[in-house]
Amino acid sequence: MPMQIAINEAGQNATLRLEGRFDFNASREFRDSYERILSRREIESIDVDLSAVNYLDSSALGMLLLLREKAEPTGVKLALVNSRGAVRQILEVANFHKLFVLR
Amino acid sequence: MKILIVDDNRLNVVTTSTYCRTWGHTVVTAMDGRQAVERYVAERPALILMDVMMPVMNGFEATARIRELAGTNWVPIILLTALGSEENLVQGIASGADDYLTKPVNFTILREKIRVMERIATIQGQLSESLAGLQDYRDKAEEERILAAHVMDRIVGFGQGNDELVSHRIIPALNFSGDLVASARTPAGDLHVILADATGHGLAAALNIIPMIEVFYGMTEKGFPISRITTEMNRKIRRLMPRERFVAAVLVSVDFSSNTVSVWNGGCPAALFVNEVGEVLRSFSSMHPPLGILVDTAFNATLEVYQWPVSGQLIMCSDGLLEAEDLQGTPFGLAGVTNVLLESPPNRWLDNIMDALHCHLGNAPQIDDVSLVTLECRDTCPVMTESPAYANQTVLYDTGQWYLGLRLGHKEIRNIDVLPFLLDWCRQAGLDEHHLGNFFVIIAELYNNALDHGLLGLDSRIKSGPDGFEQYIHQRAERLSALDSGRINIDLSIVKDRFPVLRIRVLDSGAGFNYLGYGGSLDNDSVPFGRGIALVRHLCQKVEFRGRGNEVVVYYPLMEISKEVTASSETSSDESVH
Repeated sequence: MPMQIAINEAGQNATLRLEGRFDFNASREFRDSYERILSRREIESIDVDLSAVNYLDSSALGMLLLLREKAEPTGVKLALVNSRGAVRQILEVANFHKLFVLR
Repeated sequence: MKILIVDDNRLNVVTTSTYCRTWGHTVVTAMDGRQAVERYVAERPALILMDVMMPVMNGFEATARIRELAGTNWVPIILLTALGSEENLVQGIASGADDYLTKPVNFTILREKIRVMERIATIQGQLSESLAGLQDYRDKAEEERILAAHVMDRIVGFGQGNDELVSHRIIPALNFSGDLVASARTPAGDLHVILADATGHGLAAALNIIPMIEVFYGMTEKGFPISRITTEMNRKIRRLMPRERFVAAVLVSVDFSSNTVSVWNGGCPAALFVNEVGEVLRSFSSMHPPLGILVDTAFNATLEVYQWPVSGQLIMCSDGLLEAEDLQGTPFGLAGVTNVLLESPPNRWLDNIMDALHCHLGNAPQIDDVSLVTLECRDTCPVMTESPAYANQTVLYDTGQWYLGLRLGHKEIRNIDVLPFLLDWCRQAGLDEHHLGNFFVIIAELYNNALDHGLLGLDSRIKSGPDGFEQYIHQRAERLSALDSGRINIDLSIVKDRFPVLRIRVLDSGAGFNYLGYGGSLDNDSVPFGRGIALVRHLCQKVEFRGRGNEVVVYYPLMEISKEVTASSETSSDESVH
């Protein structure tokens, strides 16, 4: 089953809640989602909620890097939140805590 | 659209033609089956209305012929038949007609049937167009795949003969792998190994790998440390590739003279140092983000350094190995690896881990490239062959291409007279007397410096006091006989520039000295190792101090060269001049 994305926008903060397998098949929808959020001027921070992600591959890491690159020049604060288990491990092996805020 | 009307009855042809024209179509006509085939070839109509009973060739046969000629280009054919029997209908469809209409023709129905066929023809046309496009695309992709596989094979194959201490397995998930394993020796004899795993697999991943291979071999050959090599790789990938295309990698440098491994791990599973019974003594986890993500200023090339207490192997793998899932979704995991290490002898590790992986996967598909490397860390300085990049160059002066590595412990230093041995080696390797003489001056100076000052801690300044020299010799003998630790490594190799150069490296386990502090003036009395070095400088093209001052590398050109002539000189040597 493809990854599900739920967007929750509350004022200046937006949460992207991902569910399922975060891999190459999710790339278009993921990009569309964050581009839609970033197009709103009032947005100051984006949380990517990974609590319901059970798998994440290197192309998913690549998508997160793209999001980071898009968000950085706009000053939007980015955080990867609620990762756990294997997903947490993959983020750690890739040393993503040095690139993102992990909560 | 263009309609071909086939009927041997002229009145029928005229009537049908008239209707078709009023509906906006163009019309071509034929009076029998053979003519119909000819008109089809000449006119390529978009639809055919075909009478069945005709002279020369009937409608069934004409339909079959046209179908054959049309091949994959579908043209709708509607049979017009006076015979209403089922048998004829079946024969008509079998011959390749798409529909039929009984005579006398109801023109309202004919008009609708033409419309339906028109719609189908439009869809059909689009389909075959995109099908042809797809086929075309597939052919091109296949062509590119073959090319890329070829290029990858060549590039990865360059420089292998892999080092005898390195073994590896790579299993691609697709046609070829985006994982890379390569090894090479620095001029100093250090072994460099890389395992790299680019995002994705197949062609896209391989594209990332190609610039890395060049950097790895090129810089290793020039003697750059892996910290510099990773920095350069990071810079290059970041510059060349889109941001989401990064490369997880482990780079390792092994210094056999000091029994140390230095590891940089960015995004790969932990590299493991394992002793000979399979116990993990040290784990080198990923300390950095993968290559190609960070800008130069943020990139961290810090290495983890480990001195192995006993012989063992360094095991490295890509995440494709640990994450390989069986049908139940259970990953192979680190335990899959460490179990094999404990249960089998070192020479079986590689194969047994691969066997265990296949066992684990069962019928589950392998979704990522898998690579695994073992690197032997032995307490030896093995003799190796000259680096492959030199192998194809023309040898201007037949010195051969060799490498000699000697590693002397305190016993050998006490008991063996090593200089004559080295001199004899060089004589047999083809150096003439002139060069042998110079060689001896150089090696004696370097070796004695390493021994006297490095290991024995003697100070040259003693020599200048009263009875200085005797005192010095006395102290030297005393300390040498009491020597109970320490090492001296001597490496000799021929390196090719525009002419052959004898590279001499001497390294001792002593404390070294602050060579930077002496600036350029190394040949005065303030330097603890005496004046002999001035002579070495005179004879050699280049003299380099390294490390903490306990390592010296000199380059002695095997041709006549004056101090004023630089390395780029192309003057051929005159070996008869002494």
